Amino acid sequence: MGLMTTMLAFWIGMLVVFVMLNRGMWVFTDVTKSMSMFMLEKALGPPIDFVEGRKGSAAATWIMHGALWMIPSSALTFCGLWLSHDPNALHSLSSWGLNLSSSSLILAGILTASYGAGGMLLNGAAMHIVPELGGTNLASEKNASLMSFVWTLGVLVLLVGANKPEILGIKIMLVSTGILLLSGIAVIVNMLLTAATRTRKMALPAWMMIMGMIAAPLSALAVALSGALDTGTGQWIATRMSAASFSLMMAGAVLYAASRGSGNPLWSRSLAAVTLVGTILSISSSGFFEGGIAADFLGVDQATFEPTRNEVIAGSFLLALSLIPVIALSANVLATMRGDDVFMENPDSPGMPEINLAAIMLIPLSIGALFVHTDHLTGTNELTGVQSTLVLLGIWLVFVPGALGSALCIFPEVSGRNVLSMNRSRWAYWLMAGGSFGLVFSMMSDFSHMTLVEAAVEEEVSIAKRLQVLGSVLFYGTVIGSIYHCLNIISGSFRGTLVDTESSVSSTSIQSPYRLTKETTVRKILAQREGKLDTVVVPESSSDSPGTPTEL
Amino acid sequence: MLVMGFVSTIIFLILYGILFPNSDLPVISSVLPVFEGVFDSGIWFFILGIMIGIFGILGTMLTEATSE
Repeated sequence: MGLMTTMLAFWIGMLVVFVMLNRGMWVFTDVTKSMSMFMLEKALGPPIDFVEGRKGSAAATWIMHGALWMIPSSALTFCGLWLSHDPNALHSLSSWGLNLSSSSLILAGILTASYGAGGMLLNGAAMHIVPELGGTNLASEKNASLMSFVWTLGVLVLLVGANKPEILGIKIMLVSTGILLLSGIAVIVNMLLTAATRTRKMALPAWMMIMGMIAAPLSALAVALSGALDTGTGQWIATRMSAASFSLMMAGAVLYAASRGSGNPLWSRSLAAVTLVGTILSISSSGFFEGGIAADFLGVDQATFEPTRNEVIAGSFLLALSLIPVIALSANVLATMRGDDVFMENPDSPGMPEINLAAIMLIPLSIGALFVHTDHLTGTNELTGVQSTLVLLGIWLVFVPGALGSALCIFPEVSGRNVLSMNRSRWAYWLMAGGSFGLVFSMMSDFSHMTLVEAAVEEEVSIAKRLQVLGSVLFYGTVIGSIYHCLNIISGSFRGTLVDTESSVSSTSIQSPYRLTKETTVRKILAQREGKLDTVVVPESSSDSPGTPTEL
Repeated sequence: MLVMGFVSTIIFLILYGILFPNSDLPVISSVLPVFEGVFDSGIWFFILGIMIGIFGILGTMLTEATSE
């Protein structure tokens, strides 16, 4: 039973990592720490001096790279969507040797959005969240900054590999895996060293981010150890566990940012724990539906997906189980952001609308993905036609907004400046969100196409094509929104208002002094992580003008 | 400045059409056929917008970094 053996290896691996993170490595702990620190900085020689080691510079660099990657990823997706109704639109590029197809462009868009945009934004967020919650500094700011460039190189190779999987007999995706792994391991070691120097008990979002980072290489190792690497089921489960890795990282980032941005304490630590444990124990329904992409990443031949009856039962059960952490995360984020009433607190705080959108869309899209996965797992394959659009919806309505929202919330703290314009940020949000909802029309077109194929209608029906046109044109809003966000972040890092000079609720509400934005209770103040009996309560605004009697 | 440039271009084109009716524009008329069959899909208008955005970001980075 390959599926359960692989899952068991993964669970044991995660447990061992968690225990070792808390207990250390017996007598080798100090040797490992000093050796790792040497490998991160001095062993790299002169290149490490190219980057600065200022506090927060690593997080800012990763966030900036992630924001820049949003533009090519959305542009590639837009072109892919356009080519689905006009396959010859870019035929003139064939004179440059670029024979682009809709599927290859959409694949490139998904990969760059996952690893380039979302992945880099989340890594950047982790470089702030883990030290912040551990009450320490990032072990090596210099190495982390340098690794952002290596990661970007890996994503560039990935982009080439999505369109040309093999050049001169070299598997490009495997090369990309190597580069991403190199950078990823350096980041993981950096995070582990940071966690090792923590001065207080680390909150769950930080653990989620660390475990999420470790889950990616560990899942590939688990599949290889169980001997399922060259089987269809093994490749499928590798894709699922990789998606779980991204989900965990995003969960940690949005939980932290929701609390930080809204100024409310985390609504439930138990639900956060359910999210962490549940995501590891279940099979994630997010991400790609087929295992072929894992085979490409690992450089093995794609195998036919033929699960046994027991694997179908176990897989379906664990897939259904994945809804529990999803619901827990969504409820926790939404309740944290709303506090005591139904309205989001501090809606103008950077990143809050994006996180709100991601939390709202998480449950319906996960349920949809669960149906399509079960259809794929059982071999029914009636919903195969909507797979691609559903992945795009998940990325552009949950994953990217969640990662971007968290990064926007953290960016002022790591760069020392706010984004340039709140108005532009709002416009960018509406453009991105509106454009991504355009994918609903693409899905309607997919369903229409599937129905026509099932009914064996031979003539071309224009409605499906018109919907595809509408979906792709609307998605252009996402491209423009990405450009707006990027411009806002870049300009903000140069000319944005200094964080210190402007009172920002988002940056001070968790820590002392407690800024009073509305009526509150002593219990609520004490519930804050930094809440102590000597917490100073500061009014949000005060003036020297004399008061007047209150009119009744 | 942009508006003035746009208005001047339009005025120039109208004047050229009145003064030299039925004759092609110099240089432009000989360059445009080179692109025939290349940008023959509506997607290029959108790609042009993306390119303007990317150059906008590059320009912003350059001007912000060198402004002080």
